[in-house]
Amino acid sequence: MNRLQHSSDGLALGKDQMHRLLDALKEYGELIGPVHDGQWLRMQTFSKYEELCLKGISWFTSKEYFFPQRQVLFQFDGHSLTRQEEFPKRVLFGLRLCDLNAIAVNDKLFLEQEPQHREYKGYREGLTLVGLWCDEVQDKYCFCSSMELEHFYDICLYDRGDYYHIKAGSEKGQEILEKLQLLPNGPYEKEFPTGEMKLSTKDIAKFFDKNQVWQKGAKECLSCGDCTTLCPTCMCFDVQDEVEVDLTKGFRIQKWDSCMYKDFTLVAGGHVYRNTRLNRFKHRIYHKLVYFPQKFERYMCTGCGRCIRGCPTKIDWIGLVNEMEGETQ
Amino acid sequence: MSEKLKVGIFGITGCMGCQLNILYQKELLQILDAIDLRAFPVGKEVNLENEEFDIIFLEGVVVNRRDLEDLQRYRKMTKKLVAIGACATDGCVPAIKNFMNNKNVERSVYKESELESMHSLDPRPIDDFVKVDHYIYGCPMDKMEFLQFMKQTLLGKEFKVAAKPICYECNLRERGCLLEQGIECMGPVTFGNCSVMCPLKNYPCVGCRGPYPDANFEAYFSMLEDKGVDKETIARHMNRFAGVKFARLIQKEKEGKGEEEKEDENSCMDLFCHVAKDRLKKGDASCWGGN
Repeated sequence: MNRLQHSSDGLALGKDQMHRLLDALKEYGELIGPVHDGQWLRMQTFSKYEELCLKGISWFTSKEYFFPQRQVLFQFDGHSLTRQEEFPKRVLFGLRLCDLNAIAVNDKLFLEQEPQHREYKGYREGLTLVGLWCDEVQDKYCFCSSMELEHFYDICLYDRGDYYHIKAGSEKGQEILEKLQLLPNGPYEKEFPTGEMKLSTKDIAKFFDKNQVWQKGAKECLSCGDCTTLCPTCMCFDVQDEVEVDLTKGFRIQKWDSCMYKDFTLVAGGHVYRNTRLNRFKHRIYHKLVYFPQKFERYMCTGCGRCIRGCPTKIDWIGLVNEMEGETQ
Repeated sequence: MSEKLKVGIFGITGCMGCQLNILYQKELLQILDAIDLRAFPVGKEVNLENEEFDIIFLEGVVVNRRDLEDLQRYRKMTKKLVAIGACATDGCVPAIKNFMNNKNVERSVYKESELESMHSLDPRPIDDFVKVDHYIYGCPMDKMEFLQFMKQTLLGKEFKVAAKPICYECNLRERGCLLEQGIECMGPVTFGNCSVMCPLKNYPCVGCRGPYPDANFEAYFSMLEDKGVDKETIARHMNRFAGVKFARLIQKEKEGKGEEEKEDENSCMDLFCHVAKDRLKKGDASCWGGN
């Protein structure tokens, strides 16, 4: 993605004219956006603006669309071996800044270092990202204002009542907007909203030995893995071989996995590296806030809050970190 | 492979649903091509017994002495014994009796005059009595898991399913959490890999696949109690399919805790621990002794 220097200048498009934008976007692939099914908000295919629910944050992430839960790495049939060559083109519409940044995080991991992840690259190059700026905090579990998010999108929409202020964030976004021939709307900037949930410090390496506090979270943890499957930046996977019964055909597949499970760190010989619930609970948070930044110079967590929202016991790890920080003051 | 695997499929007390599930496999003909099916009384006429098998799949729960004798005979006949279905792996519905008063159960079925000669036993999963090499869970046995077993075994690999709870697959299929909707679901404590057909149809998980070995029962129970589910209801849910295994695991979790962390005597944990301590000792059920 060739990103542009951030600018607050944008164009105006009336909400009753949104079909013009969607029609233009359709040329860039299948439209995927937040749709409410009466119970859950999820990212799925849609065709009309009216089908969308642009309030609230989707319960499920969009990672399935660029990091499928079951990815065939190669397929063998007798003596031939084939890999996926064709990747779909998709437009992710109405992503919040947290989910957009999650894609930036995954780019760092899979594209900006060698070797690149071939399949991720395939899906990623087919993506067009259309963001939707949060005017207000979408949910009580959001803590994105603590996570130093960046402007990362092809196009971003700002809700201005009966029209959208539209900005391009990349050359591709600019190209799409040029086709629409919209009226300039001058500069507009909206401050990033701050909710009640805030992380008081991200330097949690100093708390590594405070197991008494971490234990409070681990005690509540069901090891169900909901936090990792709902997290937009959790990208851990397992690689397995699947064969047909006659053993002549098969696949090597990459499947989502989760560090919350004991078997995740099970190695040959039967040793499990993170055997206790406490170790597993801590590891996920340390990976997001300490280990990843050490290597890639940005936080892995984007503050979407799904790990708390989706947790059956609602473990508030932000509260635990704040408690430890409070003790040091 | 030079020689085909010699396979037998047998059942002791059970509904035969798991054995039928083998016949319902879409890949049945391919499987039959790849193995030497020597015995399958439910599915074929000529069955060889009393010889060496590589694998025996066994369905059913041990409820009487004849079951036990059969079970021990099958164990001696085979290199690998695979428990198929909730009866064999966890005791299933018959094993609810372990949590009830035997005399009351007998009285609900038999006449007063018959009770004298009545001596019912506690139904137990087969690994209470013999070594079981592999488990294929579910009520009935999960067809996909059976197929996975066959493929892995034909490849010459040891069959292993990574221990994950039901929740993992619910999330993969974007089935939002039933617990979030206020429905008591056993997903977080139940062994996954079943393609979550119940939650997908809005029916909560009832734990037919037995316990997820890494379940955190204390947290699970207190979460349910916070949601207003009473202890008896929780106990009923836990007992339905795999009460024996759940109770033992809960007892183990409780023993692993230090003295200072012990719960009060009326907690859900204790409800199961008493049963596990008093009646569910492995191979030591009082009713199985004597004679």
